[in-house]
Amino acid sequence: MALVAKPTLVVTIDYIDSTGSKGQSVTHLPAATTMAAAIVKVDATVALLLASTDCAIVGYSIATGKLETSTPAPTLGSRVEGRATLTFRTAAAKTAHFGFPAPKGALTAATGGLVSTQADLAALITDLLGGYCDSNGSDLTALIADELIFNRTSIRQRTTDTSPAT
Amino acid sequence: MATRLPAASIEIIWQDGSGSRGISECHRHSSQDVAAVNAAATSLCSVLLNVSDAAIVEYITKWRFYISDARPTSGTTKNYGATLIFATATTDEYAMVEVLGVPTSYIVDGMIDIANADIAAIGANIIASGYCNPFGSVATTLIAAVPTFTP
Repeated sequence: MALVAKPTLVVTIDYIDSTGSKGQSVTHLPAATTMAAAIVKVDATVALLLASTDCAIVGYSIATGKLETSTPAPTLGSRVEGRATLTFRTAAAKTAHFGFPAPKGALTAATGGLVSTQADLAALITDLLGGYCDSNGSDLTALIADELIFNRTSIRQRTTDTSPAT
Repeated sequence: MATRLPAASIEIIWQDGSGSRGISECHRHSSQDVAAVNAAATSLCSVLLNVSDAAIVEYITKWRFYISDARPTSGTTKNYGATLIFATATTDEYAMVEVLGVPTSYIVDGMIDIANADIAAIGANIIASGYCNPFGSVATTLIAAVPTFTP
């Protein structure tokens, strides 16, 4: 695994016109720019753009990330359609989901649930409970369910074994 | 001016044995800096590789901001725009910034007038702020601005 940082922060500015149509313009900042500095720069740019556009600017995003430069071959027969889904309780007493595709066979119980005590899966759950949150910024506090779901799994077909204790 | 959403998203992009791709999404507090979120994401990827038969090809970390009082001018369309073209610090590499919804009054002789005060101010800001092209070459000089129309 060799995840390599992208060379820039991608700044995407979101516009809306009087018909309700949305548009975006994209620009870049050097990757070494801190988030605090980027926000100051983009706020200043947005203020100037507003003088030149009749559209409204409704927001922007700043994105970066890493690319795998030597992707290992996925296991033959692995499919992204099958997802291990973990359901967490948040500090605000809501639920948040995290899923990953093609779980290894050792993680799957005969009942269709996941074996959350399996060492690798337990390590993942510990990692997610150590600083991750939901989209509202509420911390994940406890795993309350886990199951294996395929893209076309109906509600009736879903396993009843979602207890994280198995 | 803009309000930061409370969580930064991490999108992890997977590839399976058939070449199909899928995404996992999770969040960190948006108050964390780029380096901290990227470090967490890299760590998460290494843990995820132990539990999945698919391969991770990329992850994207994103902070979102919204402006709640934004109102477009009546009768405007985003389809008229201006593409500002900058020389960069690297020879034969350029950087472009597109502005949507630009009034046609900025067009002079078929081009956007880069001497116009508003356009010149944007150009100066892009250069002074250190914006760059996708390869990281920093914009140095506004050399032209082209009107664009999306039918």
